[in-house]
Amino acid sequence: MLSPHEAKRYRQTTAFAYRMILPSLALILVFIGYPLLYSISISFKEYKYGVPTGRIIWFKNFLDILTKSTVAPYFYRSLLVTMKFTVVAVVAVVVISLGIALLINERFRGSGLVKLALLMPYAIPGAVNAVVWNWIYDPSFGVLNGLLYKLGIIDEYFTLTGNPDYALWAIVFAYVWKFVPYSTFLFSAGLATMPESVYDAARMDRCGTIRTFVKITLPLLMPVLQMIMVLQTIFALVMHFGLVFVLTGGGPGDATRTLAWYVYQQSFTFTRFGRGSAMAIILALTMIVFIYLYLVVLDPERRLERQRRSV
Amino acid sequence: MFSDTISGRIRRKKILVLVGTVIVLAYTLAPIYWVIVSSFQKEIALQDRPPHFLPTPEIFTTNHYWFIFTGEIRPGSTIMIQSMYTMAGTLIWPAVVNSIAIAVCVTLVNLIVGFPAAHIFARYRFWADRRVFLVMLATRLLPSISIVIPMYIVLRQFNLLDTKRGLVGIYSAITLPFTIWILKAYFQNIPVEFEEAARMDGCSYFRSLIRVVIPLARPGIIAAGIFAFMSSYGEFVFATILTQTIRSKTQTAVIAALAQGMSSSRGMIAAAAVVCFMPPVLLAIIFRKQILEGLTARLGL
Amino acid sequence: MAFLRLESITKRFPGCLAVDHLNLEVEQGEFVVLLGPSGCGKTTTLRIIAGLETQTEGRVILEDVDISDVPPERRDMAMIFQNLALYPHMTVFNNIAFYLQNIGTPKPDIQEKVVEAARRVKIEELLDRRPDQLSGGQGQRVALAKALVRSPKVFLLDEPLSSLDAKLRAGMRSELKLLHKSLREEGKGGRGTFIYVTHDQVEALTLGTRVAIINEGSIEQLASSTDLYRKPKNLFVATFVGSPSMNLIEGTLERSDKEAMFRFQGKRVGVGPRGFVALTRARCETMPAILGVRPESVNVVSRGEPGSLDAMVSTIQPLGETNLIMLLLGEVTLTSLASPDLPVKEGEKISIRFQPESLHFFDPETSENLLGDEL
Repeated sequence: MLSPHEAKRYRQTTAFAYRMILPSLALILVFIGYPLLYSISISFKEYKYGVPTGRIIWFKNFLDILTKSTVAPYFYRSLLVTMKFTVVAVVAVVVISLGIALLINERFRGSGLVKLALLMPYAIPGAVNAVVWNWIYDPSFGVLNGLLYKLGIIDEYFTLTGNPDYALWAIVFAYVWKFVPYSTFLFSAGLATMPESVYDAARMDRCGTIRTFVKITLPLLMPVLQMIMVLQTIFALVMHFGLVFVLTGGGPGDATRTLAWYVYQQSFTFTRFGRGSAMAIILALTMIVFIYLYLVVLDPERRLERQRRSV
Repeated sequence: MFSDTISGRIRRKKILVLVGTVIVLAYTLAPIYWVIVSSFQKEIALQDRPPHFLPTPEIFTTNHYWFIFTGEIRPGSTIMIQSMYTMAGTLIWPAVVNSIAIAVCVTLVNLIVGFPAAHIFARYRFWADRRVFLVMLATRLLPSISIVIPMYIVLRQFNLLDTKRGLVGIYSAITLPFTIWILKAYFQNIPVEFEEAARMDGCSYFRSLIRVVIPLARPGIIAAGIFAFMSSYGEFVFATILTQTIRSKTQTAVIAALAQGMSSSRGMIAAAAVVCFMPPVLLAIIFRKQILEGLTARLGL
Repeated sequence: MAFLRLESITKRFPGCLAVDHLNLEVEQGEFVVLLGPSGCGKTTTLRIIAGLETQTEGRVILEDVDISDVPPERRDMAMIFQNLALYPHMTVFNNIAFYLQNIGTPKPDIQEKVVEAARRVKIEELLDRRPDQLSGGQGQRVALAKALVRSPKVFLLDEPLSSLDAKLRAGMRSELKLLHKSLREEGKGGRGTFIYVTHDQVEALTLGTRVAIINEGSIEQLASSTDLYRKPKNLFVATFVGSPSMNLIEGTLERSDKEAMFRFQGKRVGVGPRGFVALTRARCETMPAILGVRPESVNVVSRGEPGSLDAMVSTIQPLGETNLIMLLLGEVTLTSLASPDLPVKEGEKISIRFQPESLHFFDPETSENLLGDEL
């Protein structure tokens, strides 16, 4: 137990600490906490044309989303699209960035240049990224069409984003392009913590290159890999919004209508704020699951402590 | 192909690395190269199939940029282009200025408010400090979509819709958690002894922060600032939904709208894209060391 | 021909020459120790033998085959690293079995060999543990078992005991010696050919059949422990080997009548037949030289004995079995090892004598031992 003197000190320090944190907390509570709560309250109300009708309908919005025949099928379809997108995008990002990270860890003369080049997709604002890829995919004059045509792979220009079968993958590709560098740097940092002597020992133990990767690098990289996968999932659920906005507008049909996009549509195209909020909350809940996975289960802070100590 | 000797292995590795580098460089730089090249080509040339990969003198032009910055259509351009230049193109530059202004304000707010908070989290242990910190981080990962509706309503009520101030407030709240996280990591890397020595030398808490911690944590501060800037500069959801006029429209909103107009001059859009990505790209090039350090600070290196 | 040969091995790093035309011949079953101060190139040399580093010049030859270009995994050598390099995510069993798994040994054979190797180093109960659950000494043995299980032609050890505390170290030393002996007798593992790197001279001198003293990338002397102690070829070896280190006095060696004398700082002392030999070899009447005499050869004698020198006791440090006495001889400081029963006190004036059979003379310019082969 603490002596009265120690307890007083503790209380003073705590009070001081809270005072320092207060401005930040306040900002976050006001601009994020409050809207979040408000969002929940909106989802319990009925809105028409962006204005509340005054009726509180509690969970009807949610029920509509899940069961009403004019909404539910589209909702479930958006979940499917979201899942398709997320799985492919996350796997692609992780695999590609791991490969690039292995490359830049080889400490050769050009690695600085490669790192600089990797910063470019990272630095480009999402909107500009969308616009650039829109231009690349352009069905009349885009360079993708142009290249394929020149190489003789296709006979005439085609539309990528107007094709329901290809549209989603077009978005995936543009998304992956922008988000690979971030993961690459994280992987690169993780790879750098691998003890060099373990690799020497593996060589002496007659371990082939591929075998070394599978049996040594991957297991040791597992904590980092898990972190990155979960983090990328969290990003992929939402960060594709700009791309959909510019490239496909959710279409053609509903080929690229992810949950995030559907929320936008419900809220601002159909002006059904109530329903839109309800969907937004479902989306947020999904993300909270992954956020919990990331921050609590995987706990990056404690992991890097353990890693720092063991190396 | 190469026998299994040490020198053979070295040779193989060199070739693999070379091939890999070329592929990676092409992958990352090709789209950017393409946009820049397109922005300097005459509109007519941009309508050729297949497109030109190098702006040869016959098709080189700076008309697109001229239009963006001055709103004038140079006499040399063809009439077809004149109809394609929408007035929205002249909004690009003011929008970029907006974006930069907002991002700078957000960065300042982040650093001023987040610095003491990060320091506290790094140094002091108190009841629920871990939980508060976690909640903060969680808010950063929440989707903007989920709060944009209430945000819209609230801002409309306070007449903050379509203002730069509103955006600064929102962006600050969004970027703050990450700023605090990064600064906290950097602070934890600075031995506490420095601050203790400063206190022994008579500094108050704040004085020790200013004279001792800030200089030592400079790379971290730069990194946190850059991240805050780039996050707010490139933010999409709030920028498009919560803004209406050029009073507050950021580059995100303007260029997204431009690209959706099917009849816009494609050269102009390309030039707009270049103008829009210049600020963060330049920052990334100048501060690349701090950015790379900051990204890997997550892993405590 | 020798079992393992290093021919003129040179390794250059940007900014430093780590190994300088090093030649070494090792016979099968030898326990050769590479001893030297930090950064002298001994670990680099070991890694070159292993194939983990490529030499800039020179060749590595094993059983008359040039293996300079052969990748490390094909050289049939086992290496124990300074920090053990056990795979942290594998059990002890899998750590030991890793090599066998990689070359495709059938499972029952793996089981048998791993258990046998574990039994040899007494870690059978630890096979299910993970490296982070082991103590320093236990980890050591796992590393040894890893090497034993594959019966390599050469064992390479890089300062394996440096992370253990003194008591453990002594225990592991004798175990290593026993291991080497049994491997020799069984004819397994290249008949126990060991190449061992360390900076600890006690380890080197007790473990090695031959020890190579390495300084700045080249071998100063390669000999048995006793030879290194009694017949150091140059100043570096003389001062590096032996603790407390040899006393050195600068002066002039000169012939006077039929005796060899050493003159320094205004004093003269007879240095017996060894001084004579040095002068004769150099064909001089007088020459500058550095006299080397080990502390145990500096004896306290009765006051005023002929052929003795006057000195003053500066400090006496009791070491248990002996006393370490610091003496002042004019401006020269000497250390002497003497029995604790000797009745001397700090500050006392005494007489000392150097044992003539244990004297060395070194050329001040070349640092070579002037006695040459006549040691």
